[in-house]
Amino acid sequence: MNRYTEITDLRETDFLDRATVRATALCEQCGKCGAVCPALFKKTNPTALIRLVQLGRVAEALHAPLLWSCIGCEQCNSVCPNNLDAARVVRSLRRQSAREKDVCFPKYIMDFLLG
Amino acid sequence: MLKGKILVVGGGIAGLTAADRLGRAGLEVVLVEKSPDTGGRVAGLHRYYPRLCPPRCGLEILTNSISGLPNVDIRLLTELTGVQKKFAAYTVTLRNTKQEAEEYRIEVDGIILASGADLYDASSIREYGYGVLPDVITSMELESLFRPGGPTGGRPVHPVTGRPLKRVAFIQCAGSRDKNHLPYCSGYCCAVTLKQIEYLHQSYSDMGTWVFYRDIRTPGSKEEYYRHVREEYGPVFIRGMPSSVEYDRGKLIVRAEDTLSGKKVQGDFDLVVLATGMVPSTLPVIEGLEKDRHGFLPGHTPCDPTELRRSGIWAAGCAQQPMDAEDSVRSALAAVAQCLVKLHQQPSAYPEVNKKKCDHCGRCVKECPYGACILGPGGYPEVYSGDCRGCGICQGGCPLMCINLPGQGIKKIEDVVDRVLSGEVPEPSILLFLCSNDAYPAWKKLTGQGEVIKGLEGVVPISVPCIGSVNMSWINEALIGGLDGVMLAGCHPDQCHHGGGTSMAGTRLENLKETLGRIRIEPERIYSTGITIDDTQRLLGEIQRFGDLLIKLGPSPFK
Repeated sequence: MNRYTEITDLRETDFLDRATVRATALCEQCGKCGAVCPALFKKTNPTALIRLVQLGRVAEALHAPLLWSCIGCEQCNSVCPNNLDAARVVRSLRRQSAREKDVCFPKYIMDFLLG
Repeated sequence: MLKGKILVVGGGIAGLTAADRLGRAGLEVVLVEKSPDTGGRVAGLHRYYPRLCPPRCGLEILTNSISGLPNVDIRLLTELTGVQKKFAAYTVTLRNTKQEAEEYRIEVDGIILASGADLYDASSIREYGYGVLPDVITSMELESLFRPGGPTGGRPVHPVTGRPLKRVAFIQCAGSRDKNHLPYCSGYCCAVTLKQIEYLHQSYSDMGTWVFYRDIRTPGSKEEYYRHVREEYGPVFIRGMPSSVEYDRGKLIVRAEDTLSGKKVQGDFDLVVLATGMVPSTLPVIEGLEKDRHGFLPGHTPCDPTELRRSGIWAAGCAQQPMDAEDSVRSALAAVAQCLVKLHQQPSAYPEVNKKKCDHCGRCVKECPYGACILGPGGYPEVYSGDCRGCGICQGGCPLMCINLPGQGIKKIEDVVDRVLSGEVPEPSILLFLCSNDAYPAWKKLTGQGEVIKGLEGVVPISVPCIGSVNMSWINEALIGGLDGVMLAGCHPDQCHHGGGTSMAGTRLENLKETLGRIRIEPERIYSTGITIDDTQRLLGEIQRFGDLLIKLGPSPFK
């Protein structure tokens, strides 16, 4: 098995809206949003999520637990040195994941919802 | 009108700028350039950052201005092969590179070394395949793809296949910040890559660019340029140095770890551009010129980047350190300013030689950090006032005490000894030498007008221009004359304003302590320390501790 993940072209991920693509393209990965995020969950945070999209690993991003642990407080946006809309990236990835066949709420949420 | 003849070595942007300004100031200028054209590396660039203006424009203005100056003599295909210091001038040997044998000499008052730097040989970074894989090129070669005279006639296409470019990878710090290659950062390569990303995206609407980097270093306003390129063109930045560049079925495969996500990544590219750093170009040996450990001429940073310990020689442009065009022009202007100051300035106080005592040992000539002291006719040292900075290191080293700065010398020490013998100085009597740059101002701040420390009234301060100017015979005289101790407060060895003054004093002291031991004077009676200008309390502490030690040792055996 190849240990290396292919670097794909971000512009080919046409199902993401332009604002999300722009936000991910401009992110310098300073890590401030990850530091402030109260939803830090299972080692994912906005910084790491954006990085996955930057590297074209959208499928992984769509499965990220953060998508469903984000509470929409937008503290990430308030600290971003580039004034990027990180919360919007999370929202648009959520929307996209709802369209995916194999993507579902994480098990812990399903357990909670179904009792 | 100013008079003087200056040699400018190198016809790049720094050399041309220097020659133009010196020429306009009315000096006679000889500019030598070893290649057939002036313009240097700048002439091979497509655009400057951050304005993306063509370098031709600025070069044209410079060369036009110079061609209107009859006092600037440009000699192409000529290189500098030797520099010899004469009393107030330099004799330089020049050689026409076309006619091997033709060497000739001229006399000049000053030299501006604008000899530039070479690009690091990228083929020594084996894992990136430069020189083996034709589609791995350096950033300078990418520039040439955009130049009309370049291999593709100015069309930015693949240099081998001639096909349009789609995916281009840049590898930053190629051979830089690496102990196996260049341990330093060349500083300009990040901005160059950003500029080239802009060219490429402007040439192709469907261009994709990737940058493998460790840190993007864009100080000052270049940060805005970095942001502009990211916003406008969206290159993908991957933090992680590639481990390999391999060729596979018409593509280059670059493998790296994306250290931000912790995953190994790979990509295929049409072209890989290595952003290489600079190495100093070779110059003839110039005795006493202060170089850094890589061979650049950065000067005494940060106070005086033009100070190379050879008055009358200045470095400009990449000979100083790797830099971009903007900094090269700035450093050339600094060199010009220093050159004009040198030609204008009033001579400082300089040492006089007592010819009756001198035995022509030449130690003063060897130890002068500025090359201002030379052996003149009859073998006696002569000090050229224009070059002398009055540090007095010659006076400190003279075994016969026959070279002295005005107002300095053994007489001062004899006066102190007389005062000690007449009982004027309370015990413990300490002769304290203070460097006038740092330690003496600290002492003044500590003691105020009275120049005494309460409880230690026996401290006699003497200010010296550099701690290296203290002659060991003075210390000897003081201790044998009955003083209890001698303390030297100079600068820290790596901070000495005169280069090696402190370390030279250190070596001399070690030798002296050995000699004193033989005549039963405890070597602890001599103490030396490094004091910076704001170290007042530490200076006090060190003097008190030394005083306590002397009380413990008891009065001088010679009292």
